[in-house]
Amino acid sequence: MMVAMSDREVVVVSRPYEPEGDSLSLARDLAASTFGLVVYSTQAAVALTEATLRSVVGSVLDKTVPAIADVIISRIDLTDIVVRQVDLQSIILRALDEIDITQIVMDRVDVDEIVGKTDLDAVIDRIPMLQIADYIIEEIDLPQIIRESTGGVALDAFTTTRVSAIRADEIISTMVDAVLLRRLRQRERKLTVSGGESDSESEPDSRAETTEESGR
Amino acid sequence: MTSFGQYRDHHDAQGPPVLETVPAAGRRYQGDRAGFVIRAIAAVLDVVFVGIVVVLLWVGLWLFLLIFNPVIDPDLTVEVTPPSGYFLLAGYFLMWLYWTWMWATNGRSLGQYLMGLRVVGRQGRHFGWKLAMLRSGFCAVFPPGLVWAIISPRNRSVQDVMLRTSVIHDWSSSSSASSSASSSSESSSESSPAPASSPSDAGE
Repeated sequence: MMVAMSDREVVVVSRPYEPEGDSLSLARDLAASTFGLVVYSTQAAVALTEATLRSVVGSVLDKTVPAIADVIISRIDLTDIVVRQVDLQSIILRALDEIDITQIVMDRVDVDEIVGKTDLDAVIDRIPMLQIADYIIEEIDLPQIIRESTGGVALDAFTTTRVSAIRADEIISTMVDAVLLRRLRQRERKLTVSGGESDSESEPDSRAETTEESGR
Repeated sequence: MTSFGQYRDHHDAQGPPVLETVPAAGRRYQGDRAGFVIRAIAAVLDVVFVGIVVVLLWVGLWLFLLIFNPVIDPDLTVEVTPPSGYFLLAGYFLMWLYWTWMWATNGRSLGQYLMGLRVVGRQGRHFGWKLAMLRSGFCAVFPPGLVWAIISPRNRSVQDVMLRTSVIHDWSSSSSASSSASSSSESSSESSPAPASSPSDAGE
C-alpha cells in the first residue's frame, strides 16, 4: 500500500499479502489504489512541467527582453517624445512650488566665498559712480551744507545784497520800460519777479545767449 | 525724495552731471545781463577799494617824507606831500590799472566778484588785455556811461555799447569766463547745467 505523506514524496511500504475477503473487494482495493497513483502522478508531472517551463521562459526573457528593448529605444527619439508629450513646465513649476530654493541656496551655497572670488573691479566699472555721487550730493544738498558750515552769515549777507540789488534793477527797468512805453524788459521782469517758467528763446533781448565754445 | 533711478533717467538726457554750487536764490539770474544798481554797487566797491589804496599811499608818502625830511617842515604847516590833484590822477591811473588787470585775468574786479558779476566780450567770451585796457580806461574816464544801462533795453552801458561787452550775473567762484557755463539760464530747472551766456550784439 502506498501513502502520500507530502508533496512529491512517495513512500512504498511492503507488507505481506494477506488475502482477505472475496475477490470483489480485492478488485475494489486495486482500482482505488490505481486511481490514487494516477492522480498523484498527474499532479507531480504538472508541477514538474510548470517549474521547468517557468525557469526556461524566465531565462529566455532575461536574455531577449533587454536586447529587444535596446533595439526599440535606439530606434525612437525619447527626448523628442518627452518634449512633445510631457508638460515639462507644469512639472518644473510644481517642483519649484514644493521646494524653497532660497533656503536651499542659503543652506548649501557659500555666498561669502562667491563674493570673495568675484571680480569686484568689473562690477564697480559698471556702476555709474559719478552719477551716484552727484545724486547723493544733490539729495543731501551738499553745497548748502558747505555754505552753511563755511560761508555762514557773510555769504548769506552777500546773497541777500545781490538779490536785493537785482530786484532793485528789475523795479527800475520796469519803471523805465513803462515810461518809454517799451515791452522788451517787461517780459523779463514778469519772468523773474513772478518766478514763472522761463523760455530762453522768447527772451533773446533781455538774456544773454548761448555760446557753443563755452560749453563744457 | 527722488530715487536714483528717476535721477538717472532725468540726467541721462542732459549729459554728465554738473555740480550746482550757486545758491538757489540766485540760480535763475545766472547769465542774465546785470542792471544798473548792482553794477553801480560793484563800481562803488571798486572805487572805495582803490580810494583806500590811494589814501594809504598818501599816508605812506607823508610818513616817508616826515621821517626822512623832517627838517623842512617841523611844524607841519607846509604841505610836504604832492598836491591832492596828483593823488586824484594817481587814483584814476590805479583804477585803470586795477580794472585792466582784473578784467584781463579774472573777468571780474573785486567789487564785481562780491556782487556776483562778470564782464564778458562778444559771444560771452573772456576778453584779452587790449579790450580790458580800453574798457577800463573808458570806465575810469567816463563813469556816467553806466547810467545808460538804465535806459538800454539790454542793460548795456555806453562802454558796453561801444566795445561790445556785457556784464552778466555769474555767482560761480571760478575765475574763468567759461565758468559762466555753470550758470543756469533756465529758471525752470535749477539743477540743470546751462551753457555759457553771452550777449547778442545785434540791434542795440
